[in-house]
Amino acid sequence: MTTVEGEVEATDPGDLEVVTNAIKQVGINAGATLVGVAAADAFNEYVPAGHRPEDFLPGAQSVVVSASLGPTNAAWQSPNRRLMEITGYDFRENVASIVIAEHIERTHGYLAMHAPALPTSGQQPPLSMMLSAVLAGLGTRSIAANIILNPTYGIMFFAAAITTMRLTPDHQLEENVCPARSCVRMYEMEGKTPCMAVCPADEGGCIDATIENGEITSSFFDRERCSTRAMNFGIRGHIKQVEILTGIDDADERRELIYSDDFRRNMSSIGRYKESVSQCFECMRVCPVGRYRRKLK
Amino acid sequence: MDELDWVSIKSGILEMARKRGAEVARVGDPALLEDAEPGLRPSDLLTDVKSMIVLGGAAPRAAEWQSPRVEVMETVGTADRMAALGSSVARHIEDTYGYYALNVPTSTDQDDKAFLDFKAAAIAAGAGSASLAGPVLDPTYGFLYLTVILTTLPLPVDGPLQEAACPAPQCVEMWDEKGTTPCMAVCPIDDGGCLGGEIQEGLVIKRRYDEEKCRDRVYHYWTPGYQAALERALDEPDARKRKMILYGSFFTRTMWSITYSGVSQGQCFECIRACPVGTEQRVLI
Amino acid sequence: MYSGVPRGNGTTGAHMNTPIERGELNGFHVVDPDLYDRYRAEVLALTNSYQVDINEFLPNDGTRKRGLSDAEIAERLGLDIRDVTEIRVVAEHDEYPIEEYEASARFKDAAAASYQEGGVKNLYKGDPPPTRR
Repeated sequence: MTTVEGEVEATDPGDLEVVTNAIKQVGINAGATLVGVAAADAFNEYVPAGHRPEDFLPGAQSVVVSASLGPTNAAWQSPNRRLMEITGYDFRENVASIVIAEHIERTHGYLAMHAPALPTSGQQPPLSMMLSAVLAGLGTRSIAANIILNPTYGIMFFAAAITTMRLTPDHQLEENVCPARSCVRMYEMEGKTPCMAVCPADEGGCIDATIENGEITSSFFDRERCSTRAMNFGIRGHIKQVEILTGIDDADERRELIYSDDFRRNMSSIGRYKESVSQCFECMRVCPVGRYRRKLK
Repeated sequence: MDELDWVSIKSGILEMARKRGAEVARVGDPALLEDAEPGLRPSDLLTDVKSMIVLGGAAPRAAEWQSPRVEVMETVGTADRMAALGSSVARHIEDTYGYYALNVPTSTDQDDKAFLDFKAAAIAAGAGSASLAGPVLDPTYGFLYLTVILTTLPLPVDGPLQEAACPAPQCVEMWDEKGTTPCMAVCPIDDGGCLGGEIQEGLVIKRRYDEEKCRDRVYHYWTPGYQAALERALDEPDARKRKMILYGSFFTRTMWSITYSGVSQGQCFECIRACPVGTEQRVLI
Repeated sequence: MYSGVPRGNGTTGAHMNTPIERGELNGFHVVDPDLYDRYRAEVLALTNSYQVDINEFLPNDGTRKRGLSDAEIAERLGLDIRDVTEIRVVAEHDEYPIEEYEASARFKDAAAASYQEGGVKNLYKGDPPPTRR
């Protein structure tokens, strides 16, 4: 378990930084690996009205973002990619966010909610957890599918609590984690970074970018193609199969689809929600950020 | 064998539940539910059942009640926490005392019937009282998610509450002045809603409740919504229009809700949002 | 005041206070297929389906971009916001056929196997740099 740096004993309610640290520690005790705080109004520069913290909680002051690791290191090493795709995401950061929200309400008397992140309109979540993580200083946006990379851990998963309590905000990291030095070297040699090479947009993949002087100068990400990979089985596949079924007149043909392994696997992902997302890690598998932490005995 | 101190045992179990998140923890007499439909009685679930432990908790946060965005409440439900607590309490009873205990599933089964009437169990145990709006309301906390543990442990029972939380004084006042209450005003059965009734001498009488309409609101994007959209698609002869239905936002949303059922337990809270019971707990900065 | 719980006071986005204005479009709305065909590409290009230059480190001088909300797209294209939402969501599903899901599985098989066999070295078309030991 990690611990928050700095003093966490909330002995002086007037010391905002100490109180903030104590709240962060609540999240870590509840299972988060890292916790950061973003100022609520920091979102306004990046997202339109309707998708800002204050749209969900009028008077919002802070967004407390919890981050957790995904697959265990062994899962990354498994020769069976489906193992990681099915068990990779345990939603621990969501538990931490709920615990943080309840702690703020019960201990400090300020309004606090578990930020709504479940997509409610197609692929669109009400509030972006990725942007929340960036603004809370937990990572920066990468070339690889715009995934937020923490400088130490690499890919992480995020949830948040929105609150009317003013907390000491963390700030966006000053340096972009991506591209890593080895990626810049590869780009200079090959015109691609590892993630771009494994999933190139110009060859049926999802990712493209340009790098100049070691910095990202442009980026492209095909989210819909990525969805066919990251949500390979589940909601979207099921919807397509239902559409196909409604157009089949032949009973035998319908039966063949209904009893197909793909239909069953789509239903399995729907029935076990943890299986339904994060079903592609190929750009992250080749990403150097955080990779060296995954080598164990 | 020495007689066990049932009072202390009960106290220990309920205190454990409270420490682990139950706001309300009470014990009811399962015999009070024995006139339920066969198959749905406590004794149908656990032969020789002696006690019903009813726990209430995991209510939405105050901020979620106050959000102007309905998708907040629709997607952050936490009912599964109470089920997890119930399982834990049941296991604790079996491991510690050697008596049978089970956590009643919160889901419905054949014909969409629950294994046990949780509301009746809560009322019998005094973990709240009936309301015009429907959910059992605790006088202090208002709406809570419930879980029920049945056990052969013969615990002393708490009884039903002496005073009902509903109608609240504010609701009686509103009824006297306007002929309606907050929950009926927000969801009037005679104007496309689900609720109706009267208040006479401080009691709710002649309650009317459109269960089907309420179900379609509470499970707006869940299985009933999925079924409705699927039916519409199957009835649509034009393939292009079928695609618009099946790929559209409503059907897609039902899929997300079904996948993430744990946080999609309730998708309409409007009657309780308007209810004054328990609102003192939600007055925060 | 009879209700004990005040609703959100909607202090933000004062010009967008109704659910439709805010784009919270609950309910069952089916877009006309002809309208969908007409505007599909245009709407999708304005959304987060294809994310171009959204990195927060890019300068905010027009270089950094973002996807538009359904309300913003509706205003720009002069469409009903409910139609915009439906066009967007249908198009999200419609961009790739079901065969792409099979292709995605094969892609992942190949990528994972390549990494297991040779790591990042296999991604180089030319000679990879020497590895540090």
